Amino acid sequence: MSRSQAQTLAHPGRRYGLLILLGAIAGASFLFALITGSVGLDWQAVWGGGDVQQRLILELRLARAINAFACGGLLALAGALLQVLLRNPLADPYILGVSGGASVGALLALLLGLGGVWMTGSAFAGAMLSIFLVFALAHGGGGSWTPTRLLLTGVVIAAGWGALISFILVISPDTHLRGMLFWLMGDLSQGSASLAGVGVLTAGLVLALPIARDLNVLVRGDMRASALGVPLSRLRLQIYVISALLTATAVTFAGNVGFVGLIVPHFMRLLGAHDHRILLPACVLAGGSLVIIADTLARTLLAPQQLPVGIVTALIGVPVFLYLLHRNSAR
Amino acid sequence: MTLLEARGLHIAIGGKTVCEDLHLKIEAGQTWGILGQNGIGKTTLLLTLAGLRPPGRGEVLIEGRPLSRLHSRETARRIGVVLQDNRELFPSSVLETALIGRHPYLKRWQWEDQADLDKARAALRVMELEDMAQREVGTLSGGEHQRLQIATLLTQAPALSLLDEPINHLDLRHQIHTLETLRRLCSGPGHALVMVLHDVNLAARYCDRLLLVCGDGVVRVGHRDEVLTLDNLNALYGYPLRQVELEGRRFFLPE
Repeated sequence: MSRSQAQTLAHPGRRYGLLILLGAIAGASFLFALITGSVGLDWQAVWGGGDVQQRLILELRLARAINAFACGGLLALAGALLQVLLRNPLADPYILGVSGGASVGALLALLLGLGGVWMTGSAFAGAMLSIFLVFALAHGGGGSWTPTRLLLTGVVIAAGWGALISFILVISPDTHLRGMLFWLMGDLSQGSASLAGVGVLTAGLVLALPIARDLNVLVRGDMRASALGVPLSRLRLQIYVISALLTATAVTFAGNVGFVGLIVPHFMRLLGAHDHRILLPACVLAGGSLVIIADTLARTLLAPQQLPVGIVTALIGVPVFLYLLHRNSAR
Repeated sequence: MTLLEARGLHIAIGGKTVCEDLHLKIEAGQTWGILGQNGIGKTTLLLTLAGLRPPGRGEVLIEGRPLSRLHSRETARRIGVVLQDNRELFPSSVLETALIGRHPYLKRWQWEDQADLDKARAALRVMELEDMAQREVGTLSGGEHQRLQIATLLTQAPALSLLDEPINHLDLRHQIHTLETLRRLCSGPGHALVMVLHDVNLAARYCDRLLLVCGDGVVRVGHRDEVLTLDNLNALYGYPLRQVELEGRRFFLPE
């Protein structure tokens, strides 16, 4: 792998090898999601054959797979960005309280018996409130905006949301609890494909790629980045806004799908994607594929019982990641 | 040619004055050493000269233009900085790390090309890191990492190099090798070198100009032969030194 890195830099054509591989995996995971389920579909149905019932099932599964891909891509991209912003390998998209705000919004809607658009809107409003709170408080008092200050503010706000979530769960009637817990653990069972997720993911990638080489410098420290001509405060603001919107969108329509945003970026780095111009798109493809596979397993493993997707992402991700970590340290 | 000029610089940090009304001209071909006690403000002074920290009063000019009016990328093509101890938190290869020195020269969508790669490899060769080009930076020793930082500076190839304790963590051979390399590559025609050092004798050997940061805003600036006196050094470190002559060179030893 190390020799291929040098070649990656020297030969433009080989740079994208990992991305092509991940693209193929993403395609395969879409196919896996389409043909797997309680009603077996064969390849013919996927390529446009089959009867009306088969096509309906296909549409439902495709919508769900698109949502799963968007959710995984959003979280993995946000995680990669936040790890650079906070210069903390343990940062994940939820660390700054965005998901806490969204959860409180969603649970309040569920408590009031509202669903659908109301719940989505309420979750998004909660996420945005959290983004502004953390941003304003980390900036407050005219003090400078250091990664540590931002991290501490975010963690404290997240803890506050955590208390509110517990409070809502305690006062909620039993009939609502199951739905709330499912939402909190990540739920992709909403029917139709959400274009918002794919749209925000695309926009996020388009906005993040132009600053990707700046990120290569920023991971090595604020002062070093400044010394190499990176406009620090503008770059930090860009990363914060992009990653916050990505996270808010993911949480709004899929709840808290843990693990993806923390582990996928590290997973890609272990595969040799140190350069953010490769790492960011790699995270989108790998995160999306992971959640598609996890979600497909979540709806089939114990069918007709559906598992929250967050459980499966962790069950797949933990052993794979530990294996890679072990292999790399042994080398 | 004047690469950097400080006009009436006033710097304070943590309630302490580092310098007051400091005037300074760094010309091409010069090598400057900054000496002083721990915590006296040497790094702060270096960062201010590099434009990474605003001065309380006064201004810094780069090739005659105020630093505050230069775009940060333009500044980065003229001034290179090596900071103290900056370990990597995320994985990266030695070669990839050296290549970030090319960052200020590349356009937004431009990738490093063969010429950039050659520059980085040449810098690694000079710093004796060539065999480690593919090593993960997290596995480097302190001294190897310090040499990598200098290789990154050589890849950046600025006109003015500012280094904060560049021979930290280095063994004796690498100390001399690094200082020789810096003097050869970073203070030739069109280039100048500024280093924060703790070793008075190495400063005397490699720097022709010195800047003694004495505290309370007192800074002594001048040619090595004027500034490096026993009285000045005793006062600078608050510790008595002795001067000995050996083969026509002066050495300072602590009592």
